[in-house]
Amino acid sequence: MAAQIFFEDVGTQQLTSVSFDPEAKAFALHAGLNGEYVCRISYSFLAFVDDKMEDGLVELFMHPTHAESDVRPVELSSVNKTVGWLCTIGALTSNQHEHADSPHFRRAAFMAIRLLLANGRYTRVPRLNHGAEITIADFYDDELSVLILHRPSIGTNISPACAEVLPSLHQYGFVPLGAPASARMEVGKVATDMFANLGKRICLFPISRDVNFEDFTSQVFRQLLPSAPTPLLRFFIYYQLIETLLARIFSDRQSATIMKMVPVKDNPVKIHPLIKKLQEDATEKKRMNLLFNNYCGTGTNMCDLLSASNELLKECGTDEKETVAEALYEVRNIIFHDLRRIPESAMLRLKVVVEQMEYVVPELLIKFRIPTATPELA
Amino acid sequence: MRLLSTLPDGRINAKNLLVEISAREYLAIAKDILANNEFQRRRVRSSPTLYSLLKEDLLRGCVIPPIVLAFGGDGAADVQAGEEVTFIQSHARELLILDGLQRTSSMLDLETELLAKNDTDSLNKLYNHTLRLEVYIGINRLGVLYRMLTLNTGQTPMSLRQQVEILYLDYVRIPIGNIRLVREVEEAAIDEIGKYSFKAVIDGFNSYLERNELPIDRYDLLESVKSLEKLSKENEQANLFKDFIETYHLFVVKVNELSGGQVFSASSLPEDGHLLDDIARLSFLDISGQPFGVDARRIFSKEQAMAGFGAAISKLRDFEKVASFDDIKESITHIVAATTPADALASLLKRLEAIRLSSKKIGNAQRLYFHFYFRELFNPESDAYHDISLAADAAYRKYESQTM
Repeated sequence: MAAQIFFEDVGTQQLTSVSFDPEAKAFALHAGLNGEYVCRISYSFLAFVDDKMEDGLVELFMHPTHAESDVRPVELSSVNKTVGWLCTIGALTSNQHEHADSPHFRRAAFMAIRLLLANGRYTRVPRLNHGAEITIADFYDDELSVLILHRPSIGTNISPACAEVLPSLHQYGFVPLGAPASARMEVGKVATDMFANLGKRICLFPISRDVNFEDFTSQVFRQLLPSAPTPLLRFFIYYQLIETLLARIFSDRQSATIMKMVPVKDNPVKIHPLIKKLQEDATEKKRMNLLFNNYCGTGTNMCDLLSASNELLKECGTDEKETVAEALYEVRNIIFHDLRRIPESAMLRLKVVVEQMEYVVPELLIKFRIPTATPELA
Repeated sequence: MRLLSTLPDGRINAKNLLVEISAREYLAIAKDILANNEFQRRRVRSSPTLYSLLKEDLLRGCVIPPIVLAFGGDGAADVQAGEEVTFIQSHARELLILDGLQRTSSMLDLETELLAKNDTDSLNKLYNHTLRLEVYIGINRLGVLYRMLTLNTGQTPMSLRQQVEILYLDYVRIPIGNIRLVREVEEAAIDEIGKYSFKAVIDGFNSYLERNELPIDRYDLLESVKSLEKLSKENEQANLFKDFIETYHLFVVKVNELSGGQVFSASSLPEDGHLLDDIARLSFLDISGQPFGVDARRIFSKEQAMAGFGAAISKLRDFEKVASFDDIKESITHIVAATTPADALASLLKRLEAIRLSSKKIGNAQRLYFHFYFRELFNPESDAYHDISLAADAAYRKYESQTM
């Protein structure tokens, strides 16, 4: 445990353990070589001291509008039941929300505070002053959001780093902690509106197992996007995720085509269209169409992304497109190959496109499925 | 106890007495002080090493820097030369430790330890130790506060809030006219007009002194210096704390009268515990959560409201829109509601509910809203001057413009 606590009189001390004192109604942080320095963090709600620490999992996020009164049970689509809570740090010790008296929430809140105090990733440096009452807000900014998960309920569906659900949370504007304030991504209105209109619960959808680039997606959502302050940079990063899916599509189709080629390899008439098909599959434009139409289902409403992309194309003097795949591909071409064509005024349009991608790209990662029969080759 | 010298302190209009005293006599006084003021019992958690060092030093007869005490009660102004020591001895319970709390606590710990071990020799050494005390007498509470802050700058720090608590705790025992301050533990007993939580009033008064509605109770040097600047502007002759709570009480009484004891409910079903006459006055707000307060008394007895009031009045004073609490008292008699008073309170509650639902820190956001509310209500240049209906709406517009 590497956490450190600053005591006014004896200086910085290493945290050694966290316990709960039911009589004092306070958590006790023990610091120093032998735990001889103790600081108490008041907690006047129900305590669940017998719960096992290893049953809990907490992750911190930033969110521009997540309110103290907004406490939501979390469901996980893959297990179809409540597996935890999403609230602000302030809500853990607040009685100003509808779940304040719920024993289920109190149990989770107690666990969360215990884990947050023990993990030492404090966002504030607690200074222990004479007589001052210490609360969890002395250790963590109380505007931060905290995802609390019950490990036995999530089973193996989510790893300890929560990588699988980062895209789902990203759709609603939740950005993992990490980036300095000066270079922090600005969450768009699309995401915050999505969160506000979600209802009383939040259901998290893990990214598809068919994506097969978990390390990369985790790196993107945990590190790259949170510290990408400009729309241009974010477009580039979002498109990298699309490219990983396009690579998966090519790999899938290539395998299927090769399988078809093997039995006819000596038949020039039959092998020629397959070679042509392989060449067509190598084109990004075609794979974009396949991605949106065949590999990610048709349920997702992409109209807003289509119209935002077309607005940008118009501003750049390019014809509007019929489908979101075509429009986004064209925007990509301009940005990657012809950035000088984008007038300054169009940069505002790019911001709108990127705000839409904030929702759409995670949606693609969640819905991506390798079809049992490869389209056009079946 | 022996008087060594007397010096006048012109800044705070008090006498400073330097006395010598045996540790035995001082410890008896210290026990009285700590028994009388629980906020002075809060201790710095000291390191075992530092504690044993101080203990050894005491037993070896080291000279301890003077401990500073103050007597903030009445009667000190009439003390004649030569009567000072008798006066201090007879008013020990009313003294406050301004500087030296940690040294005092360590000496008391050492005494307890030696008594437990029955170590008479060491105990006698401790008791015979000579200490120097500086005692301020004839000092008013703001003066005490001023000295507390100057003495504590650079030492084991206390926030202004903590020092205000220490200083005004006696008002929990002594009613101020019809006003009774109730300790936090008895908060359920705040059941009638005129009873206020001590904590909430301290919050409000602290906000007045700080010119800030937020609950700042973490010490830093800058805070202390700023507090000194603000305190130096106050009239040291006035009993500011009393003025503050009396003015606020007058406001609560006025709004309660205007509203006719109207009781509010979130839903169409009366809450359990309402009396029959309450139910007859029930008004439904059509909000999702519990109302901030179900009637005028409960709304304005919360610390958010008092902190907003404190910050607003001090700002209006700084901007020279009002001159004193007397101005505010006069203003209160003119308060009206453009709509009905009940509608004005309903509007206030709906605004507070909207803030609850949208803010990242509900308590702080509500404090800010009340700050604007009272600014609008008591600023002669505001369109909502003296009008609780208009003030509720104007304050919300200002709140939105600051936070959205």
